[in-house]
Formats: sequence, structure tokens, C-alpha cells
Amino acid sequence: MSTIVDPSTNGHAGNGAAGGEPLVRLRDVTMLFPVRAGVLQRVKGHVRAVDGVSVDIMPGETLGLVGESGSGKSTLGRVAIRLLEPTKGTVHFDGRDITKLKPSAVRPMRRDMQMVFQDPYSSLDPLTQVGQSVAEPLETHDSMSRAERETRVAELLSMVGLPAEHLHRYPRELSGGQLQRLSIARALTVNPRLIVLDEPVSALDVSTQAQVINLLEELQQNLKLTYLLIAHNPSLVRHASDHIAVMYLGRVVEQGGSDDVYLRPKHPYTRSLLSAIPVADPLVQRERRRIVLEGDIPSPTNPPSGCRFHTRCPWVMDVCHTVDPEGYVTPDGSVVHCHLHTTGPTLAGETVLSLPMPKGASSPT
Amino acid sequence: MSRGRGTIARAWSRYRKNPGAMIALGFLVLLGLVALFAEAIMPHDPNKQDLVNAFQKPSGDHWLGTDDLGRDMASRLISASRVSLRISFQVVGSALLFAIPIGLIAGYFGGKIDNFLMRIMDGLMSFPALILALAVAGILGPGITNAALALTVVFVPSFSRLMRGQTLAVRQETFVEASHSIGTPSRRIIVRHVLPNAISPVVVQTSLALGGALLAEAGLSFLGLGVQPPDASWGSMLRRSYDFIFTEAWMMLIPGLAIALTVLSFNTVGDGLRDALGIAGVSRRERKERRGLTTVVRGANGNGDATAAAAAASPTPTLPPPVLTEAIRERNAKRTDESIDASRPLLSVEGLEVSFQTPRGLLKVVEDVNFAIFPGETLGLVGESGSGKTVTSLSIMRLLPSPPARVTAGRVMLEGRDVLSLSFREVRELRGPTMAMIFQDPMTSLNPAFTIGNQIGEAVRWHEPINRKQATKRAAELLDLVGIPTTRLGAYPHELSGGMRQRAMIAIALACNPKLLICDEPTTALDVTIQAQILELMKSLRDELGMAMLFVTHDLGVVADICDRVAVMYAGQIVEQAEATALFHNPQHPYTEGLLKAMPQDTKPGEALYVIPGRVPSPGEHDIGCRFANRCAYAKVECGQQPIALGTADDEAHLSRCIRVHELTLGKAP
Repeated sequence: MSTIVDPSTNGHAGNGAAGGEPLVRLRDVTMLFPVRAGVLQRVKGHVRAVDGVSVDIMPGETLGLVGESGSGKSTLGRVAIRLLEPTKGTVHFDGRDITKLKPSAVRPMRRDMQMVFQDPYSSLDPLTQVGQSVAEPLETHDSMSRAERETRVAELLSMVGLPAEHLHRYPRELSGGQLQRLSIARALTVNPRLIVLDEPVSALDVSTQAQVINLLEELQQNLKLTYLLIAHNPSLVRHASDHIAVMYLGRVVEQGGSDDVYLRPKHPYTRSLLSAIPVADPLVQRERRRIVLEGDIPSPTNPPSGCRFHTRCPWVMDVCHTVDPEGYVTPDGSVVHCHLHTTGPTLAGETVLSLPMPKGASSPT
Repeated sequence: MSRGRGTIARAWSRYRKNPGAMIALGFLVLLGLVALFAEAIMPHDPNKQDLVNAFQKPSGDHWLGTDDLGRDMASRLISASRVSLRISFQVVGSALLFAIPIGLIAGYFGGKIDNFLMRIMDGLMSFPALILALAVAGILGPGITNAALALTVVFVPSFSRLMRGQTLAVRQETFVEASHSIGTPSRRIIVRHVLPNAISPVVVQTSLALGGALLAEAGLSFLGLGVQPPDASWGSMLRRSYDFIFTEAWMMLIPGLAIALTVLSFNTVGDGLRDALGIAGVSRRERKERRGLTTVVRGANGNGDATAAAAAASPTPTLPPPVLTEAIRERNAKRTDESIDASRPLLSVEGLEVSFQTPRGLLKVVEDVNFAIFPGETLGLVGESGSGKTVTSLSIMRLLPSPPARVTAGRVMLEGRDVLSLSFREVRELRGPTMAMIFQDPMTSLNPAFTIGNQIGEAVRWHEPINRKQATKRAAELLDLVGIPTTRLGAYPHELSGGMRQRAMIAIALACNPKLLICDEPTTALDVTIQAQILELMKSLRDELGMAMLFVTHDLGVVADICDRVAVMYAGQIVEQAEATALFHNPQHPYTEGLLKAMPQDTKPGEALYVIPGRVPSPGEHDIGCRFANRCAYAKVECGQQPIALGTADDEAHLSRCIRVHELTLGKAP
């Protein structure tokens, strides 16, 4: 039997530690982008980038947001720090409703919420010295003298492990890893409470990724930061997050503790995603039975009816074509949107791994 | 607070290297000085008439002769220069004063403001320049001020459109969004971030516009609408000389040449600025070398000889023998129309060295690379950015752009011929039927102007004498092979998803059934689930068609999935080469060990990820010995003393460039 999710405990039902208030609370957030076409640029339809998402981010923790193209994860990140105003739904930060604030009212709040972007090479103005770029938040939010600013920037550079003389360099003189650290330094300048990390290491090499992730974790410990980590590599997200939310075509299909989601996925998409990552061991990789999804990810302009994943789901049932699944709270505290838990084989909270492999799954070569 | 001063200095040093541009600039500076100090330089009073001495040819007293009223041409020319130049600068200057803010505001804010401003600009642009000037002159009367006003109005729309276009592009850059997220107010973002990044093409256009304004003023004055007598501009001088064109033709030459030389100089300076500021466009020097075929200049590297000598001294290691698994045998059996000798390499790269021409000289980016690919096998080339793997793969097909790339040593033996010694035509015949390539980003590798059916068909028709109908049929077959519905034959690349585009590129590569397929990070830009699909596709195609593959990637998981043997590259060299399972279970080089340990899959959550300290050296930045030594946990003094060759590790199939390999026990372990 399905349990209607109680929004106040979304994703944390049964999680005894969650006594406090979430730092960020998103409820039924929907973000629609108009699609214009024709000579008169009339609105023909909408891109349903985010469609009814509710998540909480607890202070001091990391929520990992995993998904592929069209999942809406980057858009959700931007809504969470009010770079975008959601079409529907609410955004609460530290208990305060910031959904409808005008940009000028949001500006002072920017001290508390910052963002680090994916591409280190274009995140910093190429014509400005990096020290200047890192100090930019100070100009808007603080009134420090020039000397005080330089001290603060030097302090930040050392916090991220860069030598102080880099102050005067230009972005083109530095590597991707160094630039990403500078972006992190810039985000820390005015002591934020929340940082949204939008694919912070995707553009970096494996060994540099490790350095930056370790740095982020260290900073979180020392400065009591809260992170929203957006990434497409589930292993990395599992390593770095306390909770994970998996997104597909604008919806959160599964969310829960990172180990629960990673080791005991409850949604077919989560399982397929995890299964698609190749394992760095030829013997294991070639013997694995993997799920290779057929077809492309549908367009967010025209999402499938019923459960959005039904066009590619290996365990699709009739009900999936017509009814959008409600959230189901599992015994270990995860929330999953899938009919398998309430009809058909009725997993009732069990992991999808317990189901037999569907026909058409890839067999070992 | 320095704002891009480094950028201006760099642009200037690039500009200085362009002799034509420097001469033009010198001329303009000289002209400027002449105009500025006109009174001091003029030999005579430009307005002083001397009818007796009219129409004199150039002489000692009158360097450029006299005009119809006996006035000294040279002095008139000099004083007129001031007028002409002043008008040019005034017109362009005031146009920019309006156009830059209009363009910035329209581009940055968009929406109704953009619409409003741009429609006004469109309205102004719809008038032909001269008609507009005539209209203004008609309303306000002739004279330089009014002429200048008319010309300003003419120049504003095109500058504002240029500025707007640049603003639109810069506005989408991540650093602008970053400034938003910091809370920086819009006006500061526009002035500090958008304007400097958007301005370069406007600077180039300014130089060209100065020349244009000069010509426009000359034109107006020629028509009698500009400068009025007795004042002179070059245009009005031209007018007067025109009256006497049949009797004293030489008189027109003088102001005419002055105008021509000045405009030419403005244009040349504009070109020089375009090159110096690095705006898109191929410089003259680059155009000379052939595109589509990497230049091979063996022995061009006079420097770095120690490595070359060492490589020459130690014999090329015998390449590892083929690993003839069941799978490879089955693949070779599929190629029924060829006789395959599975014990001889299909491709053999020997001592490959590639260098790049940089402002700091010739830099080696790939050095001493040796590997072989046997028929039917898949060799993985793994490395991080800066390892040289992509450069290596492109040089096999000679696709690196020259300049700046040059192959400076080595051979690439394909079916018994050295690809590096062949002519363009011979290489082109190999590309397609013998070897083909697929690239990382299908969006930029497919031609956006043609349908995929067309592009696949083109690949076939280049090598086989078939007509268009047959080519379309082949294209449909290939689409079927790669899993694209044949209804999409007429689709353009932008209409397809990332995975479909990559499949289309695979279809193009397979069009002529090549023996060797080179893949440069084909799945890096794709989503994880799509990557899995494409890898499955490539494996099944490889098995069905019996192709050998060179698979370049940075993802060890992908390597484990698809490769039979692996070569690991670091800082331009191969540091380890082994059969795939051996590499993952028994790494024989500290770098490989480091890569394996850094994978997040194998790290317990809560533990810090393993990090290889330091960073990859840039080309030319490394020392004489092992290039990994400064980051290696096992490094000893001997490691840095001399160049290290690739030698056998555990067995002849496993090679390593580590001199301590026999002493160390490496592995992923806890």
C-alpha cells in the first residue's frame, strides 16, 4: 500500500538524526521555459525543465543531485539559490520564503548562498586578474579597504591551497584545477552558508578531480558549509554526499541516504544509471550483466505521459503509461516514485536489484 | 587596480611583429604629427593667393606645385590634413559614444529595450549614407559641422549592432552568470566584465571606420556639402582639382594620393589589430601551409638532443607479440575478402615525435612513442589532458593542423607503407577504406549545413565510383547498422540528440569498411546511459566487421570494457603497455597505480580520495630523467639522472618506463 509522502519529512522519514530545520526547502518546484517559434515569436510550448520537485537540504550536509541531460538538475540548482524564480512552488532558505523576492531583495542574501560552476576556464573573467575576481563579492557585500581586501584574498587562496602570488595572474596562465580552486575561493569570500556546486569536477582530469573533491570536503568540515552537489557521476556523488536525489526529466525519481540509493537502488532508472558505469576491471566488466537502456532520453518539451521513465523502463507495466506514480516512503527512509513498489511484483520498498533481469538486458560478450 | 593591462601588452607585442601593420601605424603617427603641428611645418600660408604663379609644377619653392589661385599645394595639403583627420576622428568618436552604450544595453537586457533600440537603428540603417547626409545638409545647411553630424548618424547603427552582437555572446559566458550569483549589480557587470570582453571587434572596426569616415567626408566635400571655401579638406581640394582635370591632371593626384594612402593605412592597421587581438581568421603565414596534411620535418628538433640520442642508443624495444584471443580470431575471420596475417601488425608506430611551433620555439609534445596494433585487436590509449594521446592519434592520420604541429621524427607503418612519407593524394586514398576516425564532439565534427544522409553518402562516393542513388542506398544501410531509423536520412545534425549524432559519425567512419578505426574520446561528451549504448554498439560493430581499433580515452572504466591491450601515456610518452587485464590487476608503473587508486568507486565514503600530488608538466617543462619522478612516491635519485626507455616488465607482453619496476610491488591494494 502506498504512503502519501508527508512533505515535512520528505526524504528523511525514519532518519533519526534529522531533528533540525532544513537550510533549504524546495516544495513542488516547477520551472517552465517558454518555447517560441514563428514569425511573431509566439509561445508554442514549454520546456518542463523541473516539474514538481520537493527536496530538503539539511545544514552541514551534502545533498547530491544526480541525473543526465534533460534531468533538470542544473536548473534546480539555480532555483535553489534564486538565480531563477520558479514558475510554481516555493523555495525557503533558513526558514524564510524567498520564492517571490525581487532581484534587489535577493542580492543581500547572496552572501549566504553561492555557486561554483562547471567550466573552470570560463568561470573567471579572462581579462581580470584572478585576485580581483576572487575579491569581487567583497565589493558588493562588504566595505573593506584595499589592504583588508588583499589580506582576505590571500587568506582565501591559502585556504584552497594556492600560493599567494597567484593573486596577480590571469586565468589563461593557470590550469583547470587551479582555476576551479579559485572559483571555490571566490564562493567562500563572504562566508556563505550554502554552496551549490554545479558539476564542479566534470571538466577536470581524474587526478585533479580527487584533489578538488578532497578540498571541498575539508572546507565543509572546517567551515560548517552546506553543499548541493550536482553531478552526473554517481560514484563521485556517493563518495561526497550524505543524501542523494536522482533526477529524470524534471522529476526526482528516488532520494535517500547515499548508501541506500547507491547500494540498494529502488528505482529502475537508478539501477540502470548505476549499471551503465563501466567498472575499471576487465574481468568484472565483461562478466557483468548490465542494463543498457534503449532509445534516447525524451525531450523535456514533450515528456511522456504517466511515469516519465516508462518509454525506456525494462520493467514497464500497463499502469505506468497512464498514472504518474506518487512518492512511496520505504522502510529505510528513501522516497521513490515507482509503481513497482505498489503494484505488479510489489517491491514495497525492496531494492530493484532483487528483480530478475528484464529481457533485452545486455549479456556478457 | 590593473584591468587587463597584461592583455594589452601581449596584443602590442604581437602587433609589433607584423611589419606591414607597423609601417602603416608609423605613417598614421607621422600624419597625426603633421596635422598637429601644421602651422609650424607649412612652408607657406595656405590661403595666400598668387595668381601670377598659378598652376606651377612642383619645384624647390613649392614642393607640390601651386593650384589655380597660386596657393601652395603642399601647405594646403598639410592644413587640410588637420581638417580631414579631425572630422574622421570626430565622426567615429561621437558614433562610438552613442553606439557602445546602445549596443551594450540592448544586448545585455534584451526584451523590449532591445527591440526598441534596435528598431531605431534599423530605421537609420535603411537610409543610404549619402542620401541621409544630403537630407541633413538640406535641412541644416552645408558646412563641416553638419556634414560631421550626418556622418555620425550613419555610423552609429553598424557599430551598435556589432556591439550588441558581441554583448549577446559575452553575456552567455559563465563568468557573467557567476557575477550575478555573487550579487554584483548589473551596471557593474556590464562595465567591468562585458564591455572589455566584447570590445575587440569594435576596436578593429574603429580603425576601418576611420578610413571610411575619411572617404565619406571627402565624398561630401567633393559634392560641395562638406567643407566650404576658403577652408580646405582633402575632399574639397579634390573638387577644385577636378575642375582642371583636362589641363592640369597632376593636381588631382596630390589630394587623391593622400586620401588613398591614409585609408590604406587605416585598413592595414585594422588588419594588424585583428591578428594581434586574436580575432578569428587565419593569418597570412598560416595560409601558406597545407591544411589537411600534417607536415613532417624530420630532425627539426635541434634541441632536446639528449633524449633523441638515448632513444637512438637504446634499440627500439621489440614490440609485444599479439595477444590472439578467441574474440580477436573471430573478428579476423569476418574479413573474408582479405588475407589477414594476424601475427604481423596492421599499424606500427615507431619512434613518433610531434612538436608544436610556439612563440617560445619548437616544443615537443609527443616523444619516443612506439606501439603496434594487430589485425582485429583494440588498443586503448589512456592518459589525462596533456598526455599527448589525442596528438598521437591525429598524427597517425596526419590530421594535425600545420602550423603549428609538425611531426619531427618517427615512422607510421600502415600495410607496409610509411604514412608520414606519403603525398596528400596517397594519404587521402588511405583515409576511409583503410583507416577512419571518429571524434569526441559530434556537434562540431559533423557539418551542420548538410543532412547526415548526405554526409555519409559523401564518404562513400569519395572512394567508390557510385552514383548518388546508390550512395543514398548505402547510407540507409549504414544507418541501419548503427541503429538510426532510416527515416532520419534527411535529418540535420542539430535535429539529432548527442547519441544519435555520434552514431551518425560512426556510420560515416564505417562507410568504406576500414581495417582500422581510430576513436578519439568518442563517448566523453555523452551521458552515462548513452555512453553505455554507444560502447555496446561499437563492440558489436567491431566484432561483426572485424575491425582493429585505436581507442583514445581518459576513462579507465571504458578501457576495461572495450580494449584488448592498453598503452598509458604521460607527459608525451608511453609509460606502460600491457594486455588489459594485466594492466588493471598488475600495474607496472607508479602513474598507472596512482590512476587506479584515485577512482572514487574504490574509495570508502568518508575517506579522502587518493591524490597523485603535483600536476602534469607542460611540454618542455620536464627534467631530463623520468617525467613522473617529481610526483612519484617511489622516486630515487637514479630516476632523474637520464632518459628512461620503455622496457619489459614482468614478461615480454608487459612494458614499463620505470627503472625500478623489478624492485617495486605495485597495485591497487588498500
